[in-house]
Amino acid sequence: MDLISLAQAGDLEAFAALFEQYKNLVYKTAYLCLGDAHEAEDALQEVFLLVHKSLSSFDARKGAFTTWLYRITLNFCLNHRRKRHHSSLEDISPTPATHFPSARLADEDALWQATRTLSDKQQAVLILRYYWELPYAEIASILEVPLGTVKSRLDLALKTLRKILEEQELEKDSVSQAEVCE
Amino acid sequence: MNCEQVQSLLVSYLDGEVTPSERTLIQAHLSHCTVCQQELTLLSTARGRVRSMLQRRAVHAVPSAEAWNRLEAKLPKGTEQPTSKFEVWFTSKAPGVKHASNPKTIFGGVPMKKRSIFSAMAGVVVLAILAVFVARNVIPVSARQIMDRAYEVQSQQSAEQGIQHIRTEIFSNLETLPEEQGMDWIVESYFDLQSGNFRLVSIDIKTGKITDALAYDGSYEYNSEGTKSNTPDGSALMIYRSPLTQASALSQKLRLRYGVEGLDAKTLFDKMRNDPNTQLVGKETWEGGLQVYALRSQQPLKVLVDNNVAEPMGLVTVYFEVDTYRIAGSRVTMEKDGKELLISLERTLMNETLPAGTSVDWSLNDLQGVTFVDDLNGEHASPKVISVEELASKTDSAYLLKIIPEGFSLEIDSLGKRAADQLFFYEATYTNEVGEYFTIRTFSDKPLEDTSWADETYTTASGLTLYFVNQPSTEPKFTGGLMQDPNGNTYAIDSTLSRERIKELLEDLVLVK
Repeated sequence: MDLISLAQAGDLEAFAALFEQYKNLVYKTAYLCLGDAHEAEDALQEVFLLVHKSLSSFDARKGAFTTWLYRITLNFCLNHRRKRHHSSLEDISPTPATHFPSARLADEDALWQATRTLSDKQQAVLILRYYWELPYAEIASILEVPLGTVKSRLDLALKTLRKILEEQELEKDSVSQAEVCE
Repeated sequence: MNCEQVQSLLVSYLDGEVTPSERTLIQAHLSHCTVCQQELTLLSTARGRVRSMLQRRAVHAVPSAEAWNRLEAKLPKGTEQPTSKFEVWFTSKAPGVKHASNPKTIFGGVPMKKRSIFSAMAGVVVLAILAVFVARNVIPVSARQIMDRAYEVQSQQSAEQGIQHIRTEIFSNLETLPEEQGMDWIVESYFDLQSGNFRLVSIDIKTGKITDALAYDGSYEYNSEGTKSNTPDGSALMIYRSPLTQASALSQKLRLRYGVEGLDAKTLFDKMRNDPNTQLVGKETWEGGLQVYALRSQQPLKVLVDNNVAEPMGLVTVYFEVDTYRIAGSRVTMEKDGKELLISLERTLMNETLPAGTSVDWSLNDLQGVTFVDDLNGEHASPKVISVEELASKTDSAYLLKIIPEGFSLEIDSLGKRAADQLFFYEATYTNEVGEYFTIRTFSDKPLEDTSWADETYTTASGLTLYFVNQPSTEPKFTGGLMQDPNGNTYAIDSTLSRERIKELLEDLVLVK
């Protein structure tokens, strides 16, 4: 019997082993999604409580456990975000790059902040693809959307970020140009 | 491909997620388009930076060392899920319903379920209210998980094709006699999932004799119900053969109806899986090596002790195959005279699906020691759908609602023609599209002797008294009871409606004339 079946049968040790095996998956996904260590810690708790509660509904024949776990994690985190930033994040359209305020921040921080301005759905595909390196088909399965939707979300996300980076470069250029002039 | 088309695919191209032909076309375009080349470079840079940024962000993101301890403390020690209609499920499993112990597994549900209602009515024990009242113990989540898994398996089984073959041992001792006096049968059934043909034969283990048979071969129904009690010991079991015209329609109709109403065995099992009074006892290995999970709960039973209705606490165990989560059996015991007494037992000895077209004698011609009797009028056939007028012509003691409630439809079933000295059975069911129902059916022509089990009594202006059965007041609601009219006839009522609504409906019950 595998770990999941044992956990499904109520074996607490098996569930503990599942937690140990997958806690990083949940925690890191939550951290990248929520951007806060405390919130990620809470998400880890809540997600595994959900897993424990609904483990019986997981059917290995319908998909991998990790697919199911990613889905639960992202659903939880995105719901949490919506509640937290009800007004600003419900709008799925990205914040226009021209309003992006962090061009003066260090590049990576700026990029991090830039990803935070993407829509929830775009961020989710970004994390699954460029952090977890998952194939599009699996992402589609996790998010329960067609493959084409994964493609279009990634395309839009990356192009939005590209524009932001481009603006950063321009701004940096103009700053260094000004310094040269001085 | 033009620039727009190519640029819409560049991210997928970078990710290696384009088709070979797309890749060829993109590369061909890029070889001569500097605009798209530049876009590709920018996207590739952005992609690389996003990737490294995410990796660096997350590399130090690790859960606290206390995470598991925190989680473990929060894991439920018991279930938060409310109770259910376990008693309904149990009723269908109860051995007093003879072979109708598992409607779904025997007949894909419906005909048998239907028949069990009538069998129960005719029986000695009040199965309609053989309520296995659910106590309020805690259920470890593991038990529920097993039941949930079993439920999923049940759901999936319904899609199977072929011929379902099930052999079950059933022991019944609702009269709480010494165990050796209990009834012990082997019930063997075949059900063709495509054609709907079925056969069920019940054999008394002690005597080796056929005690019951029911079949449908596509043209005739074969039914021994009610014949055994009229047959002198030692004589052959009579099996009535009736042309199956209406019953065929009935079978279809019932299947649909019960599917909608959620009264099929799948749903009945669902009620059981939500029962909070269930605990995982552990694993057992049966003869033949079958490994089963045993789930158990303590429940008040309704049995006969020294010929009096009693409600002792019983131990109910249900077994699930470890590998498949299919229900493997059940066992009910109670304490009597300081000893554990077996009340019922059910064990699935065989559960297989034979290939479609496997030869099965649906007409029961292979049975030895039985006599076939042609029953052209269907007097001994299974319940049939009848009209209000037909109902009125058959009995003067049937109650129906004066007006069918809005949104509801009515179906009346009866056991066909009965001998003059036999009680006429009917069942009237009002259902609506959302699955609510109100059912009234013949129970007995004798007044109730014991009503101590009732937790509420309601008497209508016309003198009908309903004794409500004490049901757990949880969702989903399921209400039932026995109703007695001024002439001393009794009727079983069950419904998904609230007690208050049922009381309103009772006021509208009138004798059919």
